Amino acid sequence: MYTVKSINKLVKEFSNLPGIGEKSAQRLVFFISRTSKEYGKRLIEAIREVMEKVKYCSVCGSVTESDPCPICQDRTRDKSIICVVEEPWDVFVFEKTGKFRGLYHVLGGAISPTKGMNPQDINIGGLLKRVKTHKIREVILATDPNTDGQATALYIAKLLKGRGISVTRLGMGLPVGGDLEFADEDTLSHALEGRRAM
Amino acid sequence: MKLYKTDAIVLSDSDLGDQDKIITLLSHRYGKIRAVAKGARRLKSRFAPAMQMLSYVTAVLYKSKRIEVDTFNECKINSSFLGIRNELLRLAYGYYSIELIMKCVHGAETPPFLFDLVLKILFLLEKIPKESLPVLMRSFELRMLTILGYRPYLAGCVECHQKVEKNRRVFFSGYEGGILCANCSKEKRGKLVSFETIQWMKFLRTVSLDKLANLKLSHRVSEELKIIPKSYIPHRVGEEVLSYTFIETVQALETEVETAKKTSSPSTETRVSWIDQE
Ligand SMILES: [Zn+2]
Ligand SMILES: [Zn+2]
Repeated sequence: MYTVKSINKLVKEFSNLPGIGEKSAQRLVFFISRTSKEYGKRLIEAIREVMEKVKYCSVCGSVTESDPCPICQDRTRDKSIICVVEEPWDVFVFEKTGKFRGLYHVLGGAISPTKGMNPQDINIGGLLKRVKTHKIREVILATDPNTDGQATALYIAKLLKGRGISVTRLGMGLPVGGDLEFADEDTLSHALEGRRAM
Repeated sequence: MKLYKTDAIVLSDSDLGDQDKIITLLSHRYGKIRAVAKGARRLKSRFAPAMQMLSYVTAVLYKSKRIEVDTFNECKINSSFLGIRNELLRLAYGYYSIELIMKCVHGAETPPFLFDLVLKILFLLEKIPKESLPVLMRSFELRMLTILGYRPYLAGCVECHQKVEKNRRVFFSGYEGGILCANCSKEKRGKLVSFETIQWMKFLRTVSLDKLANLKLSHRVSEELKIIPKSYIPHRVGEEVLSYTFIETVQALETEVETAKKTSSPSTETRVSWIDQE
């Protein structure tokens, strides 16, 4: 069988990416092999830059190039409201709506008992610390509208109970069973406005 | 391809590419089924709401001749068990029940009354008083184990078959699969349990599920019965039921919240000790 070593190597690396099977990986590699040298250089540079510059905010857990992240440092934002999300990507989704002016807290996952993901495996401790050391008026639980997201929201709500904080959950309009990252801006804005106490 | 219709409970879902989901179901008549829900990952999918773990659905599926994975044609929700989903402790038990089925039931060889049992348990899980949740679960475990041929041996000692009598020391071993007498255990194998606990194990296999809420178990018996989920089931199915830990975590949190409520002053400034766990 005829093979080219360098191509195989890159195909193998691409296949490790989420959602990319071997067929798609091959297509990408053949595209790259035919493209201009300039494009190749830009791609390598872009990957390198992400690897070198991107880190997680030590306060909220979002991806950022500076620590604390620009959102946590922004003086115009309402520091008494925290929106709790599962993944760093969800922060981008909320920021796109332009409707939320508070801070975020990224859990880095959801409680998923059947997969052995328990409360101590996600960053709930960090959230408690923030709530304890800052004057927080409201915590919005914006975990995914599926069973694990619900379990996570219920757990945090119970943990925050009796602390004089209003704990809310995103409202109706968000389709059940979905991932927050697939929500469009309109739907999310509505869900945010329609949030209700837990 | 052949169409067929069945009632089912959604046990798990996982992503299949960017668009689809692959769903595992416990069906009424065909045991455990795996099926693809096309487009279920999309935001406005007609399938998405029905494809959640713990949903009770009526599904129309295409049976594939070649592969073991069927395809959803239609799926309607009969109940999504909001009573379970909206309360943390009940949801923890919900996860546990589903994982138990995932790990104990294999293939299509399951009798319809297993499905009926599971459905009944889920309806009870929604509304039974909270303090009856452990006894409900123990009864579910023992019944399911019995239906699937995994039931613990309780007629006498698993080794010498000597009957268990009231005033003798009796041991229960998850590894051995039932009771051990003091002689066979030699105080080493199995765990010392009360005679009463053994009686409860037998009783909970057959007692009417509707009467569970009226049963009062002593603290000792409740604690000793935990040997079923903690040791007996893992030994029978060959792996741990992971979500049992979550029940214990939630139970501990609820106890702490209750205690904090009782001891703290109404002021919101009071910092109670459980907040410092981490
Ligand atoms: Zn930040
Ligand atoms: Zn014996």
